[in-house]
Amino acid sequence: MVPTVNEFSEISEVTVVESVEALFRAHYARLVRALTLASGSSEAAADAVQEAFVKAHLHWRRIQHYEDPVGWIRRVAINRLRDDQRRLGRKQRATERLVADQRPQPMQWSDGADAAAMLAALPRQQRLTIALFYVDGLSVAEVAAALELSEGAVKFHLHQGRERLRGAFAKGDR
Amino acid sequence: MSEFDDPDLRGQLGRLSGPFPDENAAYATMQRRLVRAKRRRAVAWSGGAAMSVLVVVAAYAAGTRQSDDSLRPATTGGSIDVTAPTTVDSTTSTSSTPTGSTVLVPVSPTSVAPGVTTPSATIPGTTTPRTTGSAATSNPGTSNPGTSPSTNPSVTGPPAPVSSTFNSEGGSITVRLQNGTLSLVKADPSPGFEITEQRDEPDRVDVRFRSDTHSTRIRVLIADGRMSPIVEEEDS
Repeated sequence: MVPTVNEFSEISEVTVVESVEALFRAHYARLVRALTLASGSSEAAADAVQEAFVKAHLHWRRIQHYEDPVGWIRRVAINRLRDDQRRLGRKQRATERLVADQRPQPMQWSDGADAAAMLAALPRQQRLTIALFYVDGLSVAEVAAALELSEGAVKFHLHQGRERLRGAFAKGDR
Repeated sequence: MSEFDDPDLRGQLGRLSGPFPDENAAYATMQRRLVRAKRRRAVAWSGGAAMSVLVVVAAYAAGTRQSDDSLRPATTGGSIDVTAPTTVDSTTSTSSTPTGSTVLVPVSPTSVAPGVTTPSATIPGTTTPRTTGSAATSNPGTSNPGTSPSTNPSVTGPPAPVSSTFNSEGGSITVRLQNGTLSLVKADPSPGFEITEQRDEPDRVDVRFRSDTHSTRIRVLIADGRMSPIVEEEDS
């Protein structure tokens, strides 16, 4: 349903703050942890998620009428994280070109286990799929919506990623 | 229940994703970022709004000026381009002496005292330069207010000043309106009259002439961006 002008104007700033804060309290931590797993950096993840909530606040009069406002926030955070990683990647490649003997720096994970190394080795899309499904607790359909993939593609990434990670965790346990 | 549910994997990945962040601290940080974002947006909006207002004002000013110029004919002298009141000031007349009455006299060539030069107004924006007022004065001591130099119209820059001369039995005054501010250019009493009071303020000019038998008060105010004269004649 397309909102009318009156619907927009009736929302007070207090209502906006309360609505966004409620969403923040309910979803911030899980989303940050999922994106931390996907990116390997809790700072970058927190920065992306906070930026997404700031945008949600600024545009709340519009996005509150969306079917899934949290999905919108999640997509904004993921896009922000991707942009940051692309920027960092370009910077890193430029540095590598300048310093010939410098090797690519592995991602800094919160844990030094084999599973972390395996996770880092997964394709970025697969990492995000695993993180959103297992850490953020989304359904296959929600992951598909968040990453703008088909559900079949999400299932493929989950299957592939789970097989690889299971092996890594089993090796780490031994 | 999804086919991919795996509590063990979920738990192990949960450990890899680190501790739960401090929500309160994160919310406070987000609020600070929000304030900064709002400030940036407000600055951008106010800048845009200011530019819009400037454009509108400039367009309006250009339109008004063009309209004024087109409405004013090129004068060759002898006439006054002012709106003169035609009402009797009853409040003033009640305070007048029994032998006289105070009347607001329409400012027009007919109200000119004998012997005083026909008034003239300097009209800005006219392309025809003025030469002089109508006739030479019969009183050598009285200068011709109509000979005030006219201003050359300019296409750009601030609005050109408007000078007008207002005549009365007691004398005449020449007033200039420039940038919304009035200033008294000249005050010439008629023969037998003298200036008893002279106020020259940005929003009004007030001059009184007095003789043994008559007093005149000329006030010029600003109404709708134009000079609005009020002339009061009183026999004493």
